[in-house]
Amino acid sequence: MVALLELEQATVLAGDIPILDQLSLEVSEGEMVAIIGPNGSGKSTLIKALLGLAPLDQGTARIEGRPLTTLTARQRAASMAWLPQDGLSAERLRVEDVVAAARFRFNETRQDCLAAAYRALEDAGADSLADRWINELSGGERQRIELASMVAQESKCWLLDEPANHLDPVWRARTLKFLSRRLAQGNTVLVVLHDVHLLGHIEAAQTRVVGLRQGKIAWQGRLSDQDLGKGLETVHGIPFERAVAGNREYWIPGEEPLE
Amino acid sequence: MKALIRWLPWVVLATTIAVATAWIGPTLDDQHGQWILHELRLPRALAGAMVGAVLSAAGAVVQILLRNPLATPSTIGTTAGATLGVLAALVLGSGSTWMGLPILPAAAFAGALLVTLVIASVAARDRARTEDVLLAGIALTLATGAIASGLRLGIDQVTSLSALRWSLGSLTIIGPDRISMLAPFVVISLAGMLWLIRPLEVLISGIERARTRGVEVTRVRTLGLGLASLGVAACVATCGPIAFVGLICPHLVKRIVGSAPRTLLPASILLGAVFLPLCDSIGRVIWEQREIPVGVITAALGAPVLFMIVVRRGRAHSRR
Repeated sequence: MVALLELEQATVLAGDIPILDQLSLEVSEGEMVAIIGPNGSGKSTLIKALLGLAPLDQGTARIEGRPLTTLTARQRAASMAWLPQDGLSAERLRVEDVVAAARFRFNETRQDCLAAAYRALEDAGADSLADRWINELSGGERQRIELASMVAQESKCWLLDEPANHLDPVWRARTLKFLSRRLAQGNTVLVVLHDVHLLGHIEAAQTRVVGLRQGKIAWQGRLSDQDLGKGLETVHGIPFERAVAGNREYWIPGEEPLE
Repeated sequence: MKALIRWLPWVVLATTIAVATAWIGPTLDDQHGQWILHELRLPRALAGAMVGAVLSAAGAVVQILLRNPLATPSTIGTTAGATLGVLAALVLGSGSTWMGLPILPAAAFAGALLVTLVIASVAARDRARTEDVLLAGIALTLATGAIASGLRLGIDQVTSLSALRWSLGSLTIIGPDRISMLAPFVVISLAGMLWLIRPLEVLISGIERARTRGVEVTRVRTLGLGLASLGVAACVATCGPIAFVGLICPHLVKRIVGSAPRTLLPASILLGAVFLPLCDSIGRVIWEQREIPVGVITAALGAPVLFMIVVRRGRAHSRR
């Protein structure tokens, strides 16, 4: 079967320094992939390379076997929805207009578009916010609008760049839970997580963990793997300790070895 | 269709106010007064409404496309390019025609388009940031301004005086012939910008977001900037560079109805169509026996607004 998303020997340069260094990755339909790695390891660039926002200096990005560069913006939007790190615009916009705008790829009447936007808002538990201004929302409320926009776009694959950033513990857990639900509903999910602690919130044990280091994949394995701790050590360069709380397990950075 | 019905009352209201501004000023009772009203003031109000609508809409569109509330045709060099074109034409002789076309608007459009194309090519590069575009606009404005000042030395004193008057931005030189020349550009530019509302709705949430939602950003940006500069060039050729309309009107509209292009753009058009004739009337009555060019009035009102936006933005940034 052809991979839904694929990077083959992808290199992205910033000046002469490779941010992605001949990286190859395949994401199959219905899979959940968590990308981890230290700051500057190329996590966001990996996502942007898949989306076509970071042009490749070498290598190829493909969607369902077709090179990304041959696809129209609408075709890309049908395959991939993106939740960026920078947060919602600071403009004075109505929530319903923001979510409706995520449906640009559909040729439909305004009425149908708004109806779909409301369904998406409901799905993200944000229907009560529909006529609010986005610049007056709290962080958790903004996150719900972002997720509703993702739902509204109806893309196969969700690419999220540190979706738990700036959120309180409750909303972090809720966001990751929401992703697990989308996975169960048939979406493919690729999520960049800055904080390995958040791996503990992911419910799907089959989730693939991909660890980046200096633009390359340093380690990858399943969330349920016995040697996940070793993998985290390979990626981050320090040992990690397992902590169990209820039926969840979390990974906590251990003592840094003394120089 | 529904949108049309929703906006109709506002269109009627705006048109009424714009036309009514013709009656502001010294009372016109006698025969002579009636002639002034019909031949001078009404065309002026009409031209003012068209120019105001285009400048305001162009401001709103450029602000969205370049993701910056301070970007307007005046700040990205479009106006300066048009002004340079017109001055160049004056040096060559303003009365002349070229291939049957009046040379003034043609020169204005050539200048505006040239500068805007340079800006658009900066904006079209994949990694262009908004600041780059604005800075390039400032550089081009300074360069064209310097050349324009130099050109003024090349014209005789009488032409130089009329060039100065024109460069302040004024609606006094409008006659019915000018209006029929202006109208097609206004219609094309406004209709084109309204046609871009759907992609603009997405672009307002960010350039990269818009790309991932299916908008061909480069195409929309090039089209939008082209349509805006077409309209602005026609306005500059008709009545000189009138600054700040594209800044004030969209800014006021945003504060009232928000930034969503589907309301921002039509509302900016209507407000601009009312705002400029009103400013022109103020210029007519504020100093007895004299007429202050409308460009001076808009600049006097616009500078404080610009100042306010900068201060507010500074505050919004420091709050984060």
